[in-house]
Amino acid sequence: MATLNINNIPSPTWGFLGMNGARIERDEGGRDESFAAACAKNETKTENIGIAADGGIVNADISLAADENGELCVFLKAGGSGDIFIKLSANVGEDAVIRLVFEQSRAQDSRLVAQLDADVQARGRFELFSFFPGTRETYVQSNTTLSGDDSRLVSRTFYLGDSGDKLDLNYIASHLGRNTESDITASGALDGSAKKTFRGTIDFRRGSSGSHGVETENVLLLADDIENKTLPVILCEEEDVNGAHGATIGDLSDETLFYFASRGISAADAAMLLKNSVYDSFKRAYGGQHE
Amino acid sequence: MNDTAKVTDIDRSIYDIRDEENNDYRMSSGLTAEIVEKLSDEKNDPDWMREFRLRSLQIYNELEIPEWGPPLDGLDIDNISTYVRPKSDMKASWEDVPDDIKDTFERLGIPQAERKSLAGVGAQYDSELVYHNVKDSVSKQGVVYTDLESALRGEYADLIKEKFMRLVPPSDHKFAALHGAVWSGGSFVYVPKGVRLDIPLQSYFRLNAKGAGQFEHTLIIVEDDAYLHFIEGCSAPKYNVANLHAGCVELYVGKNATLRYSTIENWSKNMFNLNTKRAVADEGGRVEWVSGSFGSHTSYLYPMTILKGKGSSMEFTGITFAGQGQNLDTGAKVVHSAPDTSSVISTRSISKDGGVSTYRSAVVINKNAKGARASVSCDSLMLDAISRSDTIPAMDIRTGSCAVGHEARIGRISDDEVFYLMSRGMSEEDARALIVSGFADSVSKELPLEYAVEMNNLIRLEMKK
Repeated sequence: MATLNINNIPSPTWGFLGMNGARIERDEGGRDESFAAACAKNETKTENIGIAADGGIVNADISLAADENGELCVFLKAGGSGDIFIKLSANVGEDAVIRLVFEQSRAQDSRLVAQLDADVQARGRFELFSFFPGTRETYVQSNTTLSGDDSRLVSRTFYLGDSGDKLDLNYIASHLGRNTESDITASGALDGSAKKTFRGTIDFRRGSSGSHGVETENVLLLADDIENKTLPVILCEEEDVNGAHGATIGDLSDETLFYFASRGISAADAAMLLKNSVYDSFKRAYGGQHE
Repeated sequence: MNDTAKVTDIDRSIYDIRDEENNDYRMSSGLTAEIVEKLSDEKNDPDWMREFRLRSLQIYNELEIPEWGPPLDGLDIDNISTYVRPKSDMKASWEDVPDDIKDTFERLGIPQAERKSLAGVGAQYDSELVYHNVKDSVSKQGVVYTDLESALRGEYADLIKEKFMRLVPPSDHKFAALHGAVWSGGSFVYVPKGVRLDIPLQSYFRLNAKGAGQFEHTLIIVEDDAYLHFIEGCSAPKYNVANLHAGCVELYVGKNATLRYSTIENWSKNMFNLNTKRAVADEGGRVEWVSGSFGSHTSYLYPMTILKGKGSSMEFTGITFAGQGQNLDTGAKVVHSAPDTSSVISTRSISKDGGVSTYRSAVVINKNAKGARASVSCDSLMLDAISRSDTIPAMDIRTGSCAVGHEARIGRISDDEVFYLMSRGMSEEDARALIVSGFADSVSKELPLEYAVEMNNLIRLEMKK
């Protein structure tokens, strides 16, 4: 058995909040799998990667690379009962794009621990679209370094949580190059006794002048036993930058409920509609077809 | 258009004047059981307070220094004298205060402010109160404003014993425990039911001694339907050794009562300011914090409010100005622990010349706080590329029936805003001055007038050519 300290924020806060990071235990061993997807200079490529736990433990090593002016799109699906540990690294070359569409499938007894690291060179772009439907435990850390000037990060995360679900997310955008941009959003709905922690950090390092970073979270609360923790962080040691973050957390407003009621839709049905719309929003975000 | 706006450092000339140390008694530096017992003897503490101090010392020795905030490497408690008694006991008239001490407070404008616009004043010099007075018209309403140590022995002794360090127990953190062991001075305020004090009470803390600490304790009880505005000011001359301030403020706000607590903190840049402030509000009660942090070498300052009663509310308005050599970690905490509670936190910060400003907050909404509403807004202005500004606002929500909004922005003075003002005939220098004043205005307008004027006078703008 090993203890992992994961999802740590770069600048810790009060310990009593229990938000500085997560600590988990894992069994050693399991099935090792590795995947690599790459596109050459000026090439466009799409790859599909599937990881299934099948009741056991899977340790997946994934390497993505897009060479200069290349465009790589990877659909990554992970799920099934058991534990999945993913270590993903993405190297985005100059003027290149890597788009990662990461979809977790729902399984009752499933644990996912994913570390997603990306390094983006000049004028490159890393796009991350994620959907977490709610499972026993999901831990995801996304760490993107905008090394090159004019590099970009777009991250859209969608999630659901219900009774017995635990979701722990940690998204970090480190601005090193000049005129870099990060845009991180997370949206979801929590029901039952779901527990969710979202940490989002925009880190403007010295030298990242002209950079912009935006981070927002919208959480819909649908039950009284939920536990929602939100920690949006901006770290800044550069003058000529613009950073903003915002969070909106709450239940269905009276206006929203009235709107639905006036169309003959009950509060319970309205909540279900909105929950179901989260997955649709995920698909719309990356441009997928509505199923 | 890319010229950098420069804000000159805060003018400290009146605060940096040092009085020659002419103490009646100065405790040896360090912190041991012997020192705590000696202090208790000097204070003629009741037995329960002596035991409390020793228990607090034990807790202090067991707790670790926090690792999440600014470094405290330069603070060595073995080099701090925890008790310095001036050659004066507490007077009720400024005429009776020794000249050197009186002159210090005159320069700081305290007696004038009292004459002009205050209901009562407490002035602490090093570890003891040297002046305490409250207007007759105020006392006649049943308002009590006295030094805390007298209150330990008078008619309010049982009340003090019941409340003292219950809101901020020594186990809260290492420097709360330190405070519990070596506290000295500070005030007790009691406002009876239904009494509305329309003019403020003020305490002013001056730490003149070099290499010393100030550990005053303020305990305020505002009963149901009452109103009080309490103002706190502080300063110290700068030395080349560390000074320490670990005060404690405990506020109890009754049903439908309101307490406004305003602070202008202007400690010198050798000061470690590790202050703890906490309020609890009963049903319908309201706590208003107004906080200006301009001084200190290192600050840990997070006034906290517990909204215990249904419909209680809190508003926090603050500004932090971190200049060269300063690492100011400030913010606020609020715990919603009853239905229909509300809180609003609004802060501004400015960093320049290598200063480090960190905004840190916690909004906790407990399971029973159905209908709670919370809003947090923090804006930071960076004035150069050698400073630092961090925002770390946390929200912990345990009920589905609430609404929480948060927003934060960080940036520099906008070139577009400067251009807009210049296109209306303003010079670039005036335009930048106006923008910075506007940035601080939302806080200065919450301050008492004389403090707002002082704050605005202190912030002056120069343009680099």
